[in-house]
Amino acid sequence: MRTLAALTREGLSEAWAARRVVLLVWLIHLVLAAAATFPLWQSLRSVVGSLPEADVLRTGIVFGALTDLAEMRPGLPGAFGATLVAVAVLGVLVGAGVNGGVLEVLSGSGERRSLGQRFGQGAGRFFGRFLGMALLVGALAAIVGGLAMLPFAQLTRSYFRTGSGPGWLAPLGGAAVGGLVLLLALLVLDASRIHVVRSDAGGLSGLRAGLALVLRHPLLWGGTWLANAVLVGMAVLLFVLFRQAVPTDRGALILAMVLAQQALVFVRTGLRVALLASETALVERLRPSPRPGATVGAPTARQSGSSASPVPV
Amino acid sequence: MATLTRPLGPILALATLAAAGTGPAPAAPLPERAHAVVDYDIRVRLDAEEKRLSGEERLVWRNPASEPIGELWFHLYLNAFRNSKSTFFRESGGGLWRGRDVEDGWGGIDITSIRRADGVDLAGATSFEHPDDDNDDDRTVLRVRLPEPVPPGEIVTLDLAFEARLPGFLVRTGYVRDYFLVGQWFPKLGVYEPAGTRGRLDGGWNCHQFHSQSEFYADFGDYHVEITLPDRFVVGATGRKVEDRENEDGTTTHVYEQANVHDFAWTADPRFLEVRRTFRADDEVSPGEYDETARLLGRSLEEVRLQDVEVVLLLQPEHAPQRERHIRAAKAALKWYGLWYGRYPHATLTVVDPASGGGGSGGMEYPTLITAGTRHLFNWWPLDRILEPEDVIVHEVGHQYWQGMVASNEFEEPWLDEGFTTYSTAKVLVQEYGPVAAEAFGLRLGQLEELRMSNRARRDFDPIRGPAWDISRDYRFDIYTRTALTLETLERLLGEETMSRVMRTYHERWRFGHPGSEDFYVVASEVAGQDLGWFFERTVERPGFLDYEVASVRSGRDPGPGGILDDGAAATVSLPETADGTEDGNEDSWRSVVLVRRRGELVLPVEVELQFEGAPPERRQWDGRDRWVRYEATGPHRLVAAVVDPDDRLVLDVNRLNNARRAQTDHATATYWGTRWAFWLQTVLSLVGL
Repeated sequence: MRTLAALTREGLSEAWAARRVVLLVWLIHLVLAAAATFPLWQSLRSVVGSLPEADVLRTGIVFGALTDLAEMRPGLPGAFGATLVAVAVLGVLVGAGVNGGVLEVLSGSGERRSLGQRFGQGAGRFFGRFLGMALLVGALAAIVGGLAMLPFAQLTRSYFRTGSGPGWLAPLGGAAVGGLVLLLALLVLDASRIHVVRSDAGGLSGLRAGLALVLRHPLLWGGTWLANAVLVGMAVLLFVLFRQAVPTDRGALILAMVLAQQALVFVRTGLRVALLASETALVERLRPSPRPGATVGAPTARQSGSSASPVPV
Repeated sequence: MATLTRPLGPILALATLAAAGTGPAPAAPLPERAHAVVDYDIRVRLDAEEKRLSGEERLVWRNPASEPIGELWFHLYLNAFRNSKSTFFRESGGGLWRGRDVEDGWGGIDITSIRRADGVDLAGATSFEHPDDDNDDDRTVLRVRLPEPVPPGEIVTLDLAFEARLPGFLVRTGYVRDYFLVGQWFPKLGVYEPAGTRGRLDGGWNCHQFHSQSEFYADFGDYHVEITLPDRFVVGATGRKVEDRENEDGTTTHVYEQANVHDFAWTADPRFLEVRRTFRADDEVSPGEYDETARLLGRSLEEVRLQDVEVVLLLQPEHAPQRERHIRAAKAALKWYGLWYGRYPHATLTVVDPASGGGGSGGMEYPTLITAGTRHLFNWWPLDRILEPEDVIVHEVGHQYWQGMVASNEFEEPWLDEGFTTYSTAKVLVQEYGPVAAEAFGLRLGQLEELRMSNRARRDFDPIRGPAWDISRDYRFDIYTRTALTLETLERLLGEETMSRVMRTYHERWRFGHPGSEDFYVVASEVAGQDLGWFFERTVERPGFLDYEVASVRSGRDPGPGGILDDGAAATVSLPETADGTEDGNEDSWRSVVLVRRRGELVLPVEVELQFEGAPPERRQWDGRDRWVRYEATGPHRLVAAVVDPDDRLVLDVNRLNNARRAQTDHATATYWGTRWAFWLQTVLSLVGL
């Protein structure tokens, strides 16, 4: 537990130190999202701007008004859908670059290169490997997750058809198994990325090393992730409470909502950087880097710059 | 068979005649029982393993006409499931049995013996008829020629024996595993309509084939039914159970009786959880509610008073957490329909929860017995806020009124049945549960909003009135949704009080009767004190949708007079094109122009409201006959917006969003959604980049 707390603290501290990179990642996402949204906003503005009956949409999702709107602009739902798909695809590419940039910055705190240089070089240097790893792990996770959930799906179907069987344990079990597979994939990806950045390894060997790291210390990896997830959850909860308390029927209040949204995105980005920093610290404890000048592979008792003892492997 | 072609003239003339005697109609006393035309005494045995029924039936039929009648027409509706050549299967296009075990699932009924009570064998005097189509293979209507005609007012008694096999793909009737929903199972007479019934010029049998969309039209009578089946089954049926007899062969005979009904159905399942509650009128309805109802309807307190009803709920055990939801919905329906239309006259109401996999028998209505329909998902939060089970129960109880008692012809005029029930259902749900139909994860869907959402200009708008087998493409929309919206529109045009009295009077007058559309038109015009023929002729008898739109709104400085003026001075002026009126012009005067369009074929008179800055709004009437109308206003106040139908009376309008337009655009809504969307995209970017 103390190890997890220390890892989380270390991650948060690293993220704070690298707050400019957090700002950079937030800005990248904001610019991309804004660019994708602008044509839709223009289209929406041109149709609802003069329609008082559409004002009800400022209170949230109103199905009747949205159905009317879709009838008035039949292409609008499709445009939103296409944008979503395009951004999702873009997200995979951007994620490969951003993860490389962030890890490069986190791993080179003492360097003289500017943050922009380090981020850009990391993004470029690891882009291909990270992208390939993400696609491979994503595909494997879908297959393994699907196979693991299959029996639960059959039990669920049988339960809904006959009314007898394990009841709600079946769909809940399926969801739990699917969630675990997804979590394992995310942790393996992070561990692999960190390994690749540390050792400049290839994608496949990085994945093997990452998988081994996570499977040997599942509690440490899961605990590190969970501590970070709790913080993300708290931020989301605060945002939801704010959204419920503040109406959005006027311009100033809409601005407040936008600020709250961006604050949440910023905090979420910061916590993602913190997670990567915590995981980097965890890898450092599990497999300390060789000191400068030391023989590669030689056992290392203590890593300079690290305040905690290595975790027994 | 009744003719289906209708000239509109008589409709309008009838409505006009009715409206001529203006003022509220005198309240008819609420009929307590039907004029019994046919009585049934049936003994049936279920072979639960073979899914077979063996039955004996004695029926007594009274000739209701003023002429002798020499034949009887029967429904043999289980034969709809005999093979894929039946009209029912042809109409359903195979969709009803796709994916089911057809080989083991075919059903049907055979009459093994038919005699007059005096022993005269009628087996040689029968033939299958197909009055609705050219399908020689359909065996759902049987015609029996009598040796001698039955004189007016006299009776004929027949004894029949039948063997039936229940269908295994459970569409409305049949079985799944040990769950049986036994409807349309015995040889049942059609309706002999004397001349004058529903506009008929000559008397004749009205006995339609079993169709994919309709199955109800029969005469009232008294039933005594004895059902024998293995004693492990829990049984429910139309009417009141009067006796249980345990037999030596491990079976039990359940005896049910019910008067004043036109059908009989029953159900059996060993897994049923039986819950019995009493709807106690004195507990369920407060004195204030009685007073309010009596005032609303213009009836005496005695006329609106309800009676106690025993509610029997047969629930699947896995739905036990929904027990109170089912009971509450049934009681709410008994209460509000009873108050508004007339007290529920029967002693029992049985609500059946179909077994898993038996959803095809859900949402069915038989006299005093309905099937509900729910899912495990609705057991728990947050999906327990979705009122689907309540919707189904309230709807099917509504059919006790619109079909069970006001027994219109579902085949020929389904809108009087399903449409009236849908309209009534929404009212009960709003009254009992509030305006929200479903709420989950912060999302809400209103009762009326749900109906309006499916009213889209792109759909097929058949005339609402039409035979069920002709409205095949968008039956549910045309018959259920559009009728409900049409009646809601009528209510908003007439006012709640008048519409309540229309519905009450229609029910009172036709309780235990067979009305047609014209009968409703007459009552509506009579009670409203105005000829409503135009309304029904446009909304019910003709196809088309309603959509009014404010196409443009402009308001600018009035440039003053131009052209060659009387004083001989010539000036050239142009109207300002900008909406905000920033161009030069008369600073004390604004010229405003509004263009309103009618986009649909349906024409209803409508109000247009012009809203000015710093001044009260002005309302203009438009009859809607032309495709568009332009309003111009010149005055000291700038026009801010124009609204068609500002009081939201025309809920038939397919698009509410285009009913109003403002002169100056406001980007707040687009910005709200734009920023929200961008936020979601940022979330997507960060998630897929993990």
